Amino acid sequence: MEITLENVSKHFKDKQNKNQTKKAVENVNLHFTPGVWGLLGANGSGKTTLMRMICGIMTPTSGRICYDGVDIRQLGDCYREIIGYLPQEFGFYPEFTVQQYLEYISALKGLTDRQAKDKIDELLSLLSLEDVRKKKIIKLSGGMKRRVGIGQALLNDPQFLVLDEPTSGLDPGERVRFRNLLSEFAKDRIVLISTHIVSDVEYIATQNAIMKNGSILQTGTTQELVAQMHGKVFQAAICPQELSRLESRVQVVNLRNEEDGTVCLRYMGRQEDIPGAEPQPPCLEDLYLHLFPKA
Amino acid sequence: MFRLWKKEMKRILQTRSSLLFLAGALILSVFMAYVPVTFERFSYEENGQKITLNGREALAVKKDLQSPNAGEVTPEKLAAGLAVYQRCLTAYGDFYSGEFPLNVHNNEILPWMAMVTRLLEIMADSETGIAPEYAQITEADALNFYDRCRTHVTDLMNLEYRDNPAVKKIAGKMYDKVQGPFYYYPGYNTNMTEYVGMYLFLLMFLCVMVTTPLFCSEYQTGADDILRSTKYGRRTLAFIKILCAIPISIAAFTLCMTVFMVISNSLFGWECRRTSIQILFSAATLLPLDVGGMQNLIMLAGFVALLSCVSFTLFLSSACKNTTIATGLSIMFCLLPSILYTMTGSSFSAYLRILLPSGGLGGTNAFVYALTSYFEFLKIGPATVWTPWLLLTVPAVEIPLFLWLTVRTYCRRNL
Repeated sequence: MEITLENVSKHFKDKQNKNQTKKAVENVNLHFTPGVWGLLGANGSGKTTLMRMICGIMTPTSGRICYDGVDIRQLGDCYREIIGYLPQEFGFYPEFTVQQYLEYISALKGLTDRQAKDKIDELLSLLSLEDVRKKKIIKLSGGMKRRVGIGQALLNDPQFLVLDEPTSGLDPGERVRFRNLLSEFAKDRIVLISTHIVSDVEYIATQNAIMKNGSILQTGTTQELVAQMHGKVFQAAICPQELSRLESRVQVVNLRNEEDGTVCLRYMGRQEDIPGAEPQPPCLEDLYLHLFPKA
Repeated sequence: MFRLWKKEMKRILQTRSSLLFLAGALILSVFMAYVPVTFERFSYEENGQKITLNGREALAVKKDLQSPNAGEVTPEKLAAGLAVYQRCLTAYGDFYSGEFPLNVHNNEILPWMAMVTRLLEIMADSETGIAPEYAQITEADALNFYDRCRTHVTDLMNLEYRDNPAVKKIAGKMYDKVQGPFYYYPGYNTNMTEYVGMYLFLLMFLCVMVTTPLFCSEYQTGADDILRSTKYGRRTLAFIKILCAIPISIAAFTLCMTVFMVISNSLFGWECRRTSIQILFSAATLLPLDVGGMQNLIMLAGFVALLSCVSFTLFLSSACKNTTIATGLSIMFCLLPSILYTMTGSSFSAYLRILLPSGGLGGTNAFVYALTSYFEFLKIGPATVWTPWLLLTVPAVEIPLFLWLTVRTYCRRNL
């Protein structure tokens, strides 16, 4: 199973200048194979537009998206049968309870009553939502609503799961459980996660794609992407008074106040920028900040 | 698919606003059917005092007084009624002078009023259209009532459509089918017909409110993205939503209008349905109908207009990105024919009224007025058409068009 994006672009009419178009996604080529894929990018980089095109909700202005070599527009229902999608804004019907909502979506996904009942029971248990199954979604916490959203995406056991910012609103424990759930789920399936919370994909993504201004900047495994940051990440202990001066010279990744009154500074730059700085193993977040310095 | 339909139907009917609007429609049907009876008044004098009865009590007394003349409106009855009128006028003077004895009016005039009023109408001057005095009408005129009706229609058409032979021809052909005798059964009044029209407008409005959020609320909440990514989330879902909205409107219409008609006809008397509309409204009314037939035709026109409005609202809902815009536009299009027709009265508004789905519902533009008027003709290309036929057929043609546009707009959204 594979999903291929060939020169996919999406242009919108520019609302301010009607004679011009705004390029939300520009000439994207990607080849998704089974595993967890992380789609990283700052807000407005075109991730959501790309995901909506991948899910068939939006049609590319040019290029094509293929599932096993066949254009998804030709596949229609058959393609939608194998996908699960959680959008960034999880809209639901306020009058529905968790169970009613999942039953409704399962009907839309073509599940029979029996299949729906079994699957809903399984997912409610998996997502720790059993106690709130009769509760109206509108009364749930943000994290619980997000879990309901994840549940609906999983109802049809999708071969291709597309999740747009799935962990926003989840607490750390829920995030860890969710990551584990996805890792297990992704065997023989494609899971595409769009996020700007780098740690969500760092541990579980087999491949990553980094998007900026509508284009794919880089693709590769976390190790491959991080490798380019070797020798660029350092850590140093500094006096708090030096901080403002140094912030203009290096790109600060993280800083932590130590008990001895110094500040532990993780930064990107050169080792000689701060005397006594030690090289550090880079992580995906460093690369992200390197690529999106204003993020 | 049936499972999905059931779920969608349950979802819509579970929505608080839908329940409120539908319950409101049912409560209004009882209220609006009852209100016209409360307008009934009957005053009489007893021991020098004026006593006034209201509502059902007044209606019962009036019906009792008028019932001896119920049935076929024969020329002989008209002549007898005219004789009573003329005798009373000679004895007591004008009805509206304030000197006319109330009990004489009740016992002598009231039983003949509906019939003799029509006699006065048809004796209007052919050049000016002004009705004569009762004293000027002869027994021979009364005995010649049905022939005179035909002449009156010709006179009216000559007066109003002097330069339009097509209208005169159509009206003449239509009136050829209005063959006497007319029938009269006391009790029913024209307020009731107006209330049917008003209630149909309110019912349409409430059904439109139930329909408005069906598509656009999902765009607004973002639920649409999830629905569209599912197997049946496109064309099938659009059809399912239509197949829910239309039956809900049909069920609401059937239930509410049944309640309305049962209450109103029970209050006024079912026998009133046999009264000819030529006696109730105007002797020149162009359709050979009794009140029952007219009620059925008004309901049919209301039903078609309601379905057309609901279909149009579905289209608006599929095209608007949020509920506020869709609701605003729905309300605007519901009211537009009434506003334009009342305010401008121009030929443009007359044509627009025909095209808009709510054209036959509302105020002075309502189907019921077109049905009982003889000035309702429109020129469409080379043809001249009686407006009520257009008010019945155009919305019916528009229903599939709007539904097709709904599915198309929904499926193509964002693509």
